[in-house]
Amino acid sequence: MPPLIALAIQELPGIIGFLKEAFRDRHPDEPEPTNEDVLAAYKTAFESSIAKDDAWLAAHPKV
Amino acid sequence: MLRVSHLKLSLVVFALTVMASIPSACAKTPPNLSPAAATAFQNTRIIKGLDLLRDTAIDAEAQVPPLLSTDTTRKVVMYHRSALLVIDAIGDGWQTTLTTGLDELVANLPPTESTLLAPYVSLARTLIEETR
Repeated sequence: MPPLIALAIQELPGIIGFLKEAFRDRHPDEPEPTNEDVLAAYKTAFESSIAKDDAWLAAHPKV
Repeated sequence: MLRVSHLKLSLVVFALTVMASIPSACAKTPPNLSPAAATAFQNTRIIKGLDLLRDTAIDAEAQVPPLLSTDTTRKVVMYHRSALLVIDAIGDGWQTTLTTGLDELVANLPPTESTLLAPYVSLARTLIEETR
């Protein structure tokens, strides 16, 4: 399979997930997220993302 | 070769269409949040948008043969890491810093590799601009 097509297929779930979240309409009956929910989600997103950067950089040291 | 170029063009057109609709259609910040939580809500969305850019670069570098060089991927990962640290440190008002960094990143990439990342760079730029 050509690498560009393989990449597109690999990235699709992430892109769809991002778009679903970005365009999601909150149901009127759905409770609003609390401050604690939002702050915890931010902390998780930040820490897991930085961890992935660090893991990749550690696996690919600059020579 | 023609087929790959066509796919690349389709991806760019798709990404541009999505980006054009993001500012008006994006989920709004819930009105019940405190100022700090509202900022965290917006910042989480930016982080996830920047993650798409970083993850695409990492996955492109991992293809056989690689679509991105390790050096270019390192630049993207380092930009991503710095951007997140800036967002976390400043909290609000980091847009100019991130946009400038993004401009420098793109300017330092080889043209062919820059083209591959262009839709994701534009997405990140759109998300950043939306929070101004």
